[in-house]
Amino acid sequence: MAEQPFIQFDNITKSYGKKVILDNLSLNISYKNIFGIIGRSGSGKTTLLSLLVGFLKPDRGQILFQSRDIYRDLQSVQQQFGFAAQEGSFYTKLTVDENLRYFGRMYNINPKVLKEKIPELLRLVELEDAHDLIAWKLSAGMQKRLDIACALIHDPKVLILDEPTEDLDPALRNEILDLLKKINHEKDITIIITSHLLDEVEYICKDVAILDKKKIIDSGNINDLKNKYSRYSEVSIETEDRDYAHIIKIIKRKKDVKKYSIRGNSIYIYTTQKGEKALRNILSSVKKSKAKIVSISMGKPSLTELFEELTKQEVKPEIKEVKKQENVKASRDNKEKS
Amino acid sequence: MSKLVEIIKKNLKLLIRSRTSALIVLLGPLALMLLIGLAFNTSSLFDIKVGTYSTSYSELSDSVITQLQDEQFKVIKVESEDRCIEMIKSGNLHVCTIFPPDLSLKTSDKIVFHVDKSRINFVYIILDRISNKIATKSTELSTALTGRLLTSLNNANTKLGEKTGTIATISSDLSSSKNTLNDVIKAFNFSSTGNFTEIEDEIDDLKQKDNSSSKYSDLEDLVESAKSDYATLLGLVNSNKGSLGEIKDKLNTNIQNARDLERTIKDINNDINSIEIRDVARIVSPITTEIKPIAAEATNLNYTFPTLVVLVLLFAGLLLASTTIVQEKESKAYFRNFITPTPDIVFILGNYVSSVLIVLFQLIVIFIVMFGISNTIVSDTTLLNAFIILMLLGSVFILLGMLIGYMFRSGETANIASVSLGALLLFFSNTILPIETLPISLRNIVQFNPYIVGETALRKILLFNQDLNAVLPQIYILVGYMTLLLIIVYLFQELSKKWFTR
Repeated sequence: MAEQPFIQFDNITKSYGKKVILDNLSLNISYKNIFGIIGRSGSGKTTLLSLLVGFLKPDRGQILFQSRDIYRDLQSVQQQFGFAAQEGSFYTKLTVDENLRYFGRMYNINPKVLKEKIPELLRLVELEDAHDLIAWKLSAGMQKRLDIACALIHDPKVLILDEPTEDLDPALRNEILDLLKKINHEKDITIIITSHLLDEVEYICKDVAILDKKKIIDSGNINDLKNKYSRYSEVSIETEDRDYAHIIKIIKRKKDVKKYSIRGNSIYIYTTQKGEKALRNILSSVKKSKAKIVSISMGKPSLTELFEELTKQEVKPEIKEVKKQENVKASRDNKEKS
Repeated sequence: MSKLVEIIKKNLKLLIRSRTSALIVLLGPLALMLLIGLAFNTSSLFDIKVGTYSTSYSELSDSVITQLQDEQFKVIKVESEDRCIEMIKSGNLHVCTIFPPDLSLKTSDKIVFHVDKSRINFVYIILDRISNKIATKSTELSTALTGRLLTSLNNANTKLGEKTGTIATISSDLSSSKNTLNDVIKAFNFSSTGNFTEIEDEIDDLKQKDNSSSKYSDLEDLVESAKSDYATLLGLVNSNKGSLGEIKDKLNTNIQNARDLERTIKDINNDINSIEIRDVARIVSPITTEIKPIAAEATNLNYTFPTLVVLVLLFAGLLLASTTIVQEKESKAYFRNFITPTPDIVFILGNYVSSVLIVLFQLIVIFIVMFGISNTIVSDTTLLNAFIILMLLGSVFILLGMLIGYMFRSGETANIASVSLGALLLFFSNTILPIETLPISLRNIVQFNPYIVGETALRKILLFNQDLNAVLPQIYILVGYMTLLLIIVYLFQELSKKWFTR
């Protein structure tokens, strides 16, 4: 007999008025996993999480938690869920301690238990020194950690995070992602995370679900999905000057190169050629651009590529980044010429 | 300058695009003005209930009642003075008029008006209207009394004029008679009596007895002399007989005239005596009145205290609760609260009780300050009853504020809505203009204004020392409002959750 999923969305449909947000959506999430739900902004990720925590009710379908319909006994199910919204969800005029104490009481935790639990939790999220600070005085990263602490105050079995690294700088993003890994490791907890920052999801999650056009297109282990859907080889190159405009100009002419994008310090090139041949081909192109290569690697396409493949759309922000770099380079060249 | 124009354009666009705000900001004050303008565009009073009581109504008291009764004043005869006063306290009467038994113009008794002086802006209007009516009646009576007086004077004048000739005749006749009598008296100025026969007979007897005639010759001479005088006198009497008869006739005539005159004077006297009111003050002001407050005399601050407290409660409750809810909705933590295993009603009650505690604190401060200033001593029971009413009323205002908080999305709009609602409740209360100036149909609705309900109950308790039984109808209304508002607030909280998610 197959093992029952820890959380199961079963043919969920949700509309706001005439606008259908989720249509007949089904999804299974397994226990003690870090599960990512990826999708574009406005694809219904937050609605999906709101349904899961019982803030909204589906028009059709049911959500099962440990095989129990969550709306049948919502309050006891809510006791099992911790939620950290995109924007922090705490009282900015209360101190860190006061926020935790308040939400602890809302989760029916005895004040005596809270007294012991709060310092422990603050140690976990590394906010011990800020326990008596008013929340709005905390830095963005600390506020995010407070929010996660508020979501963990009642020892939930599931921690749900909606775009947890949105509006954070890269250093803080990594800090939060590492914290989530730590929580997952130290506590017996399943983490569900939504994001449109796919490299982060790839970094932290083992399993993902891709939400697009009101449905889950597919879900499962990231590597399995990559193997299932990838048609290209991904070659990532980092050059010394990190100016990829020349490289782009050259590889654009190649028929086998189907896509490229710049993420972080590297350029990612997607080619239909496989293995050593693909690598050699790209290297020769880069040499023509006279750029000094710092590193080069070849692997399976990233989650971003997978997402693009499945949704048949390019990831706009990244393309914009390339175009911008191209424009900057072009104008610099023009200046030099004149 | 162009920047300034841009800023103004931007602000107007923002306002208009926030539809609810625009509606409240632009149309709210206009709607308020329209409502208030329509309602109070009159100088009349409507359906003023005047209670009257007398152990024995007289013609005069009935005529005063008739004078009072018109389309504005409804007069109700009440079975006792105490009941009449109670009916003012309970709000069933506006004025209580106590007529002295068998009120008449002869007595100096006063008509007593019992009024509720705590309704400062109303009591003087109504007293002015009643005074005008009483003054009209008083002038009417004063005119009648003065007319009666003048008629008597005119009658006396006419009668005395008619008798002037008679008096002259009497005077002339008496003078004439006096002269005639003087003449007669002069004519009778002699000492002879004229009865000489017995004297002569006595002298003859003495002569015979004494046989000496010589001795009596002198005496006989004297008698003869007397005879002669008497004869002269007799002649005079005979000659004055006519004069005396004339005097007698005149005297008879004058006696008749004098009797006639006496009758006339008696008539005048009777006429004057028949004037009942001869006191100048009573003629000038035949009806006197006295105004008595139904509560112990106090300062205006004491009288206005219930209104003042309700006013504070109104705005504190509305603004505090609406601000709390909007702050909560705008708070980052709003969402988290609803995903905790806490029933929604707990949050409503939590917000409600928080506001109640703050309002309670405000009330305690107000009461301490008030009693400190006015040195008023209030019993513990009265204070407890007042706080019960204030808590009920405060709850209604707080729940109204919470409803506004859940209905509107921004703090600014909620504040404007709270102030507008507060102004509406205030205008349609007794604080600015008495509701008696509203048409009856509108007043029937306005009397359920929680502001009026609470203020009425509080005045009964604080000013008239009544207990909670006396304000049971008000308590029921307030509890009804609370229940209804709690349900509506709950529904709006659920709606606001949906709006929040969208």
